[in-house]
Amino acid sequence: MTDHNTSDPLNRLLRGWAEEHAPTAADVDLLTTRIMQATEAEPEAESWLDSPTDLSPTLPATQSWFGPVAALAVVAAAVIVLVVATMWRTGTHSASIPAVAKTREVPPPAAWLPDDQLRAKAVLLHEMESIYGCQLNWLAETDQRVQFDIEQRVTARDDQVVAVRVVVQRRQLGRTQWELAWEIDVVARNEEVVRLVPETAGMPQLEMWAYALPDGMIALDTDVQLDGSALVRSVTTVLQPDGRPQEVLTARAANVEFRVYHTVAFLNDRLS
Amino acid sequence: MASRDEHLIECYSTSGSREALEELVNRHVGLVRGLIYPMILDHSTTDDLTQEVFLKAIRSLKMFEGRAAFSTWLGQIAMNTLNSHLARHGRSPVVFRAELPEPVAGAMAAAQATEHDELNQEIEAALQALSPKLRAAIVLTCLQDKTPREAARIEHCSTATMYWRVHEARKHLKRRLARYLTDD
Repeated sequence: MTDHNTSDPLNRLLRGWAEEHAPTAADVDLLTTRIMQATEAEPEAESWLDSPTDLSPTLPATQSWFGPVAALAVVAAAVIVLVVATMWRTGTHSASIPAVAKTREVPPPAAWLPDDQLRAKAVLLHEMESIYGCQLNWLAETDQRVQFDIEQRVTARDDQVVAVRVVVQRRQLGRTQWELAWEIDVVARNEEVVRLVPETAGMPQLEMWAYALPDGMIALDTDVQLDGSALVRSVTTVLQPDGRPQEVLTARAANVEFRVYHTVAFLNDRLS
Repeated sequence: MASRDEHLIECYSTSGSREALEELVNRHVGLVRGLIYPMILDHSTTDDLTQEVFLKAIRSLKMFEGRAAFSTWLGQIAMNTLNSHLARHGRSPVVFRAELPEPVAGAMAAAQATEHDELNQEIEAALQALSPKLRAAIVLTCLQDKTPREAARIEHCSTATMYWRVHEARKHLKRRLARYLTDD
């Protein structure tokens, strides 16, 4: 996190702001003097050396009777944290349709991002960048079409590039075979917000954000909206490893079941 | 050569040396203030809380065992103090500075000053819009240069949780400040 502290535009912006509000040397001296005077003013100052202070957050006096209730609240909060943490590890999901129990099947072949496809995406990105340079934001491939987003001005960008595949499958209730409802591949930079706006009404929409963690995992937020006779919306936040498809949502609308897979992979070393 | 923090603490703890204490405070007061200001966005309250942090720390110096850096230990006290303050007072609204920018020569300079003032207000509003935990995560890692592991220790959470908070905070800030995030 700190290795790109100085080069990252957001960090530069925040640091510039912080420096403007930093105290001057004179301010520091004044504040030091004020603190030292306060230590003298406090009663029984010398006894500080022998009476340690409770460093935990203090509650107002009116809340001191609240101890037993607070203890119960802490236990309840711990349970909630445990549940939330469990959800987070497996992804947090929301859907405009009721979710059903996720299956434990092997991800379908369509959900994987094989090496040859990743290399092809890296080549495509390289060629597009040779044309548009730093104005190119992201690329998306869906339904045998390529869409891309161009910035009017040169923008700051992260060097880390990820490829993301989102696959939505559906099947009629009672059927065993799943069929492909929608598939999209996106190539985007770390922390880039991708908003795929449909060109015509009724087409799917995607909003996406990927963030590479230092331990090699990738945090991925997606909001997929499939328009049509059965409205399906999948809003998920997951933490997943490089390369392996992850089923992030299984849901049902009327007589149709849907499931959504995400696959993410780093693209930087695919051109070498 | 400057004395190490541990030496200054030992001097104060054993002999009550006020010189050692003053040097210790002077050395870290800017850091503590730099941690509190982005969380509070008010200079007067920041000074009050900074003083409170140091008074708590000085009272508790004997509890400092040196397992973590003194600055990390001080950071924990600062965050506890901040959390108590925020719990007592809630999330106070951002108070934008009302005073006009200093007079500058030329229309272009005036326009730049206005833009700059607007940027500062946007940054403060963006920080204020974050929850205290997300704000603390970005302040500790970005402004205080703490590693996520150190920040997690200060915030009493796991390193993975801290990574997540930093990610969330950055996401919100980048969205809100997108138009200011250019290469030049």
